[in-house]
Amino acid sequence: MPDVGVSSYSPLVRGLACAALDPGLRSILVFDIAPAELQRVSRRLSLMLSLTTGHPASEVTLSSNSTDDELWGIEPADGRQLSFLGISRRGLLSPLDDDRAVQVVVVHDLARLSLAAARACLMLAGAEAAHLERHGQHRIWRPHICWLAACPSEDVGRISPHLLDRFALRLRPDSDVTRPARAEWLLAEVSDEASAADAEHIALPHELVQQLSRASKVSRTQSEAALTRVLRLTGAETYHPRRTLALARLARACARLDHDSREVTLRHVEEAARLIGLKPLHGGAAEDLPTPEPPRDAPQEAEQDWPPRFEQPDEATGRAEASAPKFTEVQRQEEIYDSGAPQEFALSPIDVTPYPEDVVPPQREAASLRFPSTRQKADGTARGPVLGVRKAHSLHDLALVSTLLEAAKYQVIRRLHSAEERPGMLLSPADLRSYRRAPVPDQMLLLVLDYTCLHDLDWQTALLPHLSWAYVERANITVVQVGAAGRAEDLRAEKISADSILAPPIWAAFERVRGRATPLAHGLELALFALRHGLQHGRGSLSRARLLVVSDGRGNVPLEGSHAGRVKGAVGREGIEDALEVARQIRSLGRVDALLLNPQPRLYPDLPPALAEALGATLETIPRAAGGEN
Amino acid sequence: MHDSPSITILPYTHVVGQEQLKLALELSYIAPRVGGVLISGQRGTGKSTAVRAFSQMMYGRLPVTLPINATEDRVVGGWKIDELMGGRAEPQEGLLEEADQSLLYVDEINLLDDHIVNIILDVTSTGILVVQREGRREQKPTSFTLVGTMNPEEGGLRPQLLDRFGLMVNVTAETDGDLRGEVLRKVLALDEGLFQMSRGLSSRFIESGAENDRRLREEMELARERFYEVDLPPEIARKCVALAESTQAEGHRGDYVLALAARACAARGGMYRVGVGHLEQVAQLALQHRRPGSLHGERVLWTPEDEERTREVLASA
Repeated sequence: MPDVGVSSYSPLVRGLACAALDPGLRSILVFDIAPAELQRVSRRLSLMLSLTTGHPASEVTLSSNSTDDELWGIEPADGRQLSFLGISRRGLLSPLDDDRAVQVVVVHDLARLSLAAARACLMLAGAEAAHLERHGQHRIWRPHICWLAACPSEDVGRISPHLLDRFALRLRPDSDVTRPARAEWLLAEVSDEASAADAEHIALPHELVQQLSRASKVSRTQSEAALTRVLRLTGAETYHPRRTLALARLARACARLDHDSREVTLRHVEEAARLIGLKPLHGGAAEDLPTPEPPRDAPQEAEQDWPPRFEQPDEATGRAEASAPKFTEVQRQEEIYDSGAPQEFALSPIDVTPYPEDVVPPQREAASLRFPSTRQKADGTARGPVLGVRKAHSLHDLALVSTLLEAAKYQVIRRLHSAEERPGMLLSPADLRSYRRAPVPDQMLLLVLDYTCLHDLDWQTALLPHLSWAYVERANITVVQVGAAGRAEDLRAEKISADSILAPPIWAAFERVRGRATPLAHGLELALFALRHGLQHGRGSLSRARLLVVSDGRGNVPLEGSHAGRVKGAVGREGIEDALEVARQIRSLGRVDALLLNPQPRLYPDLPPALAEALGATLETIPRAAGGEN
Repeated sequence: MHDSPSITILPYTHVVGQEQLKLALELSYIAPRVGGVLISGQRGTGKSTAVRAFSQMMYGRLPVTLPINATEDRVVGGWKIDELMGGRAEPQEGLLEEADQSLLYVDEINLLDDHIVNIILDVTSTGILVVQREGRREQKPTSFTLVGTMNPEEGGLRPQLLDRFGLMVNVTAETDGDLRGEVLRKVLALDEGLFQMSRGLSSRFIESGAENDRRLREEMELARERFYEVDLPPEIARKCVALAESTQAEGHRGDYVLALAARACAARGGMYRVGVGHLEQVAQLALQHRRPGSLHGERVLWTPEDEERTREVLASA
């Protein structure tokens, strides 16, 4: 059954078709796409690749806990020798028997990909040659992999730019599906047993099949004008060589799909820029551009039953009629993309740029592609996620399967030299393997900062010893921001967390200024939930938490008001009482070392001590800033 | 035995720009005692491409490559697994042994596991590969030219490893518009060439590159043969010491590497005497990563002040 509602000309499908044609575009990053839709995209892509390469295309999925052994396997090249264990140890990324077959490697969330898989992507994406040197394996091959990864735009700051740069083609899900088309899709979905939503049942539109078949046999050369346009589109101030190359290749692939064209023209460069969401530069003087090429007529499709293209439904009948495809060539004069002087792109909204990593602040640690240092307070428990295995130096946290597989290599030789017959496997201490785990913090620093009472106080100096402690102890850190300016919701507090004190969002929190309301009760409630989760939840539970509250206790937003997002009438002491009540719940948790930094307010000076008592916290005063007054 | 399959890559003589990078690779070939090249730079600047192309040109194959997820048995050597499971202990040479008298390439070297870094440090400092694992006990003299590429955004190198590199190149993206255009044309031409070859046709672009590579290889081999015939005058040797002192180069290898590199540069140019110009060409390569701070993990930069100081030292008596 053909794919319902898929237009051969939708930007996403067009982009996939280009990747199927050009090996240099086979690292695709799709922003803000639902997992189910990504599966369908993967299936379409596999079909296209099979068509253009003439070889089968298989799909594998990498996850947030893929390890090196899973990715690369541990068996020798011919793969037979470990069969007696009944385990298949071929890796997900191991070279295939058919060295021309293509693999589509799917990553559902690039921001949460395991470190081993991220490093594998770095090694393989766009590489001329791949090298496998693990556990006796020695392989060199040209990888035929098409990477298909998804990522929410707002999480792109969690990904290393070095890794992101490997993704040549940036796409977004189609946003222009008309309501009638969607309605037709729904009708087909609910009435057909073989669901069109099922990725297994996806097929390509006939026209697209024809286009790809034709395009895979032809090549196109670049016109100089097209090359020049590509270079200017990808910037003079912020030159990224791979982006320039990707746009040039995309334009060339568009030209290949264009049956009537013999070379890559400005029109194809325009189309390529549109496909990935590159916007023209704003302002500047017009330059001496070549004469715009005459716009093409909209392609006339051969009449076909499937998939239909729909206009708005007829009011009388409620039915829509098939019509011309909704994607048409743009019938307009060529837009001006550049001025005489180099200019930067105006790409601040992240949802309109193919490169959001240029505008989103970093949310990752430095050197995020390195295996983390093993310097960690030994707490005798194995808690972090597994990164791999290594030779064991004790019997702690043994990786049993890896140990057995290591021992398997020597069984024949050991039995040959063994004086006696022994059942089972013969193990040696050298076989022992243990897990290599990501370090997990076992302590937490939780700061509750009430910005409305911090003026004229040297509060940051007062925090320094605690921040130093968090750094030394590798504690994770949570900052609850109460009454900060610039928030859409003044009546609610906000919580940000990070694995390390060095994370940029944490330092940004120290730069905030006071807002208009003090939702202290809500802030303490967020702290309570964070402490409960950290101290009591799962295998990663913390051994101890340090709570630091900087507040004068004058919460003026009742907890109910924060939850509802509005306050009715006068609040009186309700906000204060709610804060004290939540503080008592925090006190009851245990394993929390609480400290309240007293800003020494002139009004209601008894409130900070009352809050400290409710928290079970030690009270300290915050020194005044030089020249400040309360 | 290093048996890489036939993988067509961009011919070295088609690599556009990046003159410092190419010079460093060529010098390290002409004078292996220079001790290897570290190539650090921005994303997408053709670092890996240039190294592979150079190896293809000089050795007729891809370089022996140590990937960042390599296991110890493949680095130092182990047993052939298929033979072992058949009851026969047949050693399998590791990558360090394969690279003997050749080039060992580590891409993304700053992401390499500390454990593997330690092994490389041991071998490069002693010149001996010690295999003591899994029942093997061997020592073999081993010498290779270590070439590493890295993106400094992902972290620096340990000072001990940084010091093992004779030359260091800071690679930046081309600023010249014409060169950028030429880079693009070359890569697209390679794409076209590969497409033609996949259809059983020949590619003039690739063939011409191979021919140019062959000529360049002959020049390089000749330069290597003549290396020790190139005279290093005493005043040049004194300038090497002065330059190393002026940059406060740490350790004792700075002036030594500088002298070797200058000599190789002269040989490369067909000269029989090292001149001041050769020193000026290689000073940054030999010294920038040996300055105070560089060896302690700070960002390596060669500033216009460094350039000026170099000229002053070379101009003085």
